[in-house]
Amino acid sequence: MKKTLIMSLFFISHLSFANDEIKDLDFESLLAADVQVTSVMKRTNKASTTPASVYVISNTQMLNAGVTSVAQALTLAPGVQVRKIDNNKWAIGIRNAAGRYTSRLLVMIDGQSIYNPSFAGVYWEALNIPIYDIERIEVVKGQGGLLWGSNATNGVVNIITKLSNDTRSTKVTLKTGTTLDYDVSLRVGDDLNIGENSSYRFYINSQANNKSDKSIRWAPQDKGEKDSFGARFDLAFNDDTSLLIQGDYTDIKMGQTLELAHPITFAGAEVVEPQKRKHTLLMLRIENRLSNIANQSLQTSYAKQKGDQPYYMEEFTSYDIDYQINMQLNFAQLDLGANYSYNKTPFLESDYLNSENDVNRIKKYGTFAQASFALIENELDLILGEKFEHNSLTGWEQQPSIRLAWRPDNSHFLWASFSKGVRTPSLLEYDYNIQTNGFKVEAIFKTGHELIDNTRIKTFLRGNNQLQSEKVASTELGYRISHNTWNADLSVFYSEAKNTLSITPIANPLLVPTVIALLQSADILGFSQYIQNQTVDFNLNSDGKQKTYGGDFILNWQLNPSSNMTFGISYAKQEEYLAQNKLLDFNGETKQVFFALNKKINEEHNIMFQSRWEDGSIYKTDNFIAVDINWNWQYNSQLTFSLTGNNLLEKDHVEYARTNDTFDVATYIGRSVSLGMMVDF
Amino acid sequence: MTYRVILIILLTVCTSLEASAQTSQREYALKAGLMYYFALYSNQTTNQNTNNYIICSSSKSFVEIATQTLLQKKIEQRDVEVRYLQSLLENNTSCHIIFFSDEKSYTQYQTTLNNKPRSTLLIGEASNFINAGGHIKFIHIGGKIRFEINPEQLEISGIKISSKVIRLGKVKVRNKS
Repeated sequence: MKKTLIMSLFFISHLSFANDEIKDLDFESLLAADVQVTSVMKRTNKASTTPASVYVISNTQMLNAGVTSVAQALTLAPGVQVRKIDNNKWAIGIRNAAGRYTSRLLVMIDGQSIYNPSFAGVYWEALNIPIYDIERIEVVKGQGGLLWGSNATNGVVNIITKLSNDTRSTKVTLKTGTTLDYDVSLRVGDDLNIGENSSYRFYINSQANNKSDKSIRWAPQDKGEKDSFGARFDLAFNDDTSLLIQGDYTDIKMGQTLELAHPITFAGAEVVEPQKRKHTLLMLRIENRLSNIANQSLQTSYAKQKGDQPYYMEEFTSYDIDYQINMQLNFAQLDLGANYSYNKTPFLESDYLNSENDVNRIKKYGTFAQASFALIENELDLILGEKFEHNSLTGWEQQPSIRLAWRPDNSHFLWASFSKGVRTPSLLEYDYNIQTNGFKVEAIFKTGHELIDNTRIKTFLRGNNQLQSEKVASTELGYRISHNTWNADLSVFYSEAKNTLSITPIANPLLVPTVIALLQSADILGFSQYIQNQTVDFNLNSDGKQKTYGGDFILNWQLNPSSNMTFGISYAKQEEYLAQNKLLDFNGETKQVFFALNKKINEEHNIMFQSRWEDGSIYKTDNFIAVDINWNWQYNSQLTFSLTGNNLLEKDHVEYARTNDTFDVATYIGRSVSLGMMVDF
Repeated sequence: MTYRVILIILLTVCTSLEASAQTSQREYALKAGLMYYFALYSNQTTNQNTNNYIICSSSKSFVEIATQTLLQKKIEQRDVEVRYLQSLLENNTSCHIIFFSDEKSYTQYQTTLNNKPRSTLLIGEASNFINAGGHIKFIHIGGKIRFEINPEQLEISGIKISSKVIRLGKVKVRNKS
């Protein structure tokens, strides 16, 4: 009894950290802050008091840097691996090697996931939200499974767009340059005559890129176009209830060079066919403040992605419902939620892809609970949570998390966490068979006859419906120190993953003896006919293990009222072990040194300099230094000009050369300059 | 065992009773932070020779939170002071900002003042605050705090406010009918 009483009293304390942060916020940040400190919006609170490694890219930073896409905006976050494959495609990752189809990073727009379960990735090139309408991009490094669900084992990118109430004006932007052919956008926003404070905005955006000067193989074809339109409506019925409706449609057509298996020789051959995609997003969210201590939200969303590629056609539709209730009691802050997701993934056959079991739907449902306790008032918080989720591919999964946040005084903040997350198999891994470049005969046995040794056998990467989810356990530690003019953030992590992918090559057991017999009888024609009908299968298994460890250090320094700099250094190492073989080569290190300096010369002029040194070994490229400079000139209250230079230090460089992972033939990313104009009416 | 469970529930309920004040604290802290920037970006002729920049309110909890939030903040080299006034009708002449946390206190204030403009920034949150001659009204949109602003009324009161504030707010004009 005594023990119970002590435990009860132990948790009776005011939750800390919520209000102290406010005194340091600037005007815009105060307007961006949520009234209730909850995760109802799936937003983080102020990064400096969040017990996780969080970096927030503000709208001002994006405009100062002159970025033209969300993917490019992520280069502003130290420690994020952002690699351009060509002038349209991107490979982006956190705490591991970036991949075009990485599934360890969950990306959301205003809480709506844009994850594609077929290929387990995000088509960054199909994101076309006007940068000026993005309030901020939150980059959470590390596990995010508790709040956001599966496939967030390495991080979460949450793109938060502005309230339409804050965009009630007309804006036109024009930009053109050497790589960027044109970027034109128009946004119109105003009040709505529904309720007391309702508003809307519409936008239309069109962007085109020129093709690269050269690629690592064959001629570059990466000229691309994307067109989007969208709208957002914020309806405030009263102070307690609001409704958000938003939708976007994007149509892209992008040239590309692919390396795909030749239908006769099975060797990697050049395929030049554009990628065409149509993406639709719709979302409706009702938020309701139940009382001063509780609020709830119900979000329903719809997404459709239609893709047309030589090796893959897809038509994926998803319907999601997400409910959350948040209560801020004196003894704890409670967040409870439930979600249901239905994905239609009809299989569309192509020359390179077939389906083993025709899995054409994926259902997910789950629930989560999180409680934050103040163990010592204004000093020590404990956050416990658990998420249970069922998916139709691998069954029930759980993702628990425990975090401690300690603030001994106003300057120092330490945090620690232990969490488990889950990466569910994509349909490519679970159900599809994809033809890859043919396996050479010499890989099985060497005859010494060059023509025969280099002959290729038809090869498939075969999905496996017995795959289990990859389970990742992560331990993270962080320390932040804040002073008047500078703050520093250090975080280290260690993750162990089990059930990671491995490959078992399987060939006809009679292949080798038959080939030997045919060669011994000098029957080259018979050999040729025989080998043409054989296949080697790379069967996917989930019996590997991987450990990943590393850390980030970020220093922000306000040099004087008009200048601030950011320095970052990050390192991560991934080691695959206990896999049956090393055919899936994910081992290696990622290293980055980051430096950015922003100088507001006066009310009219602002210059931002940014550079990144990146190690290229894991991407099979040279190391490179990217230097970008942007100058903004606010000519008057309505007109702003910008001049942007990207990759200024080097003529060009390759950023991603793992063609085998993606079929994409990388191009040299060249130096570029662009000139822009923004008009506010 | 039953006794223990009941005790835990009772303790939980008792502590929860205070919880409404908890959230208001954050809301008041945000509002106090915004008031600081309103003051920073405005030019008032009232009480230029007072030692402190004074924000007045009849809400004890607002004064308590705002005092903490605005500790060590300065406006034109003057310390920001948040002052509790039991009645906003008295001793208000030294206030640079008056925050009305309810409709009644503002109505009384305006009646007493006989609607004569004075160079004090009037901030409130009642539904008809702008129509009743107030300068800035806090509103809730999408879980965030925004504000309506009446530049016309500010001008009548002799307060110049930066276009930055006007741009971030929602311009409302007083309905004189």
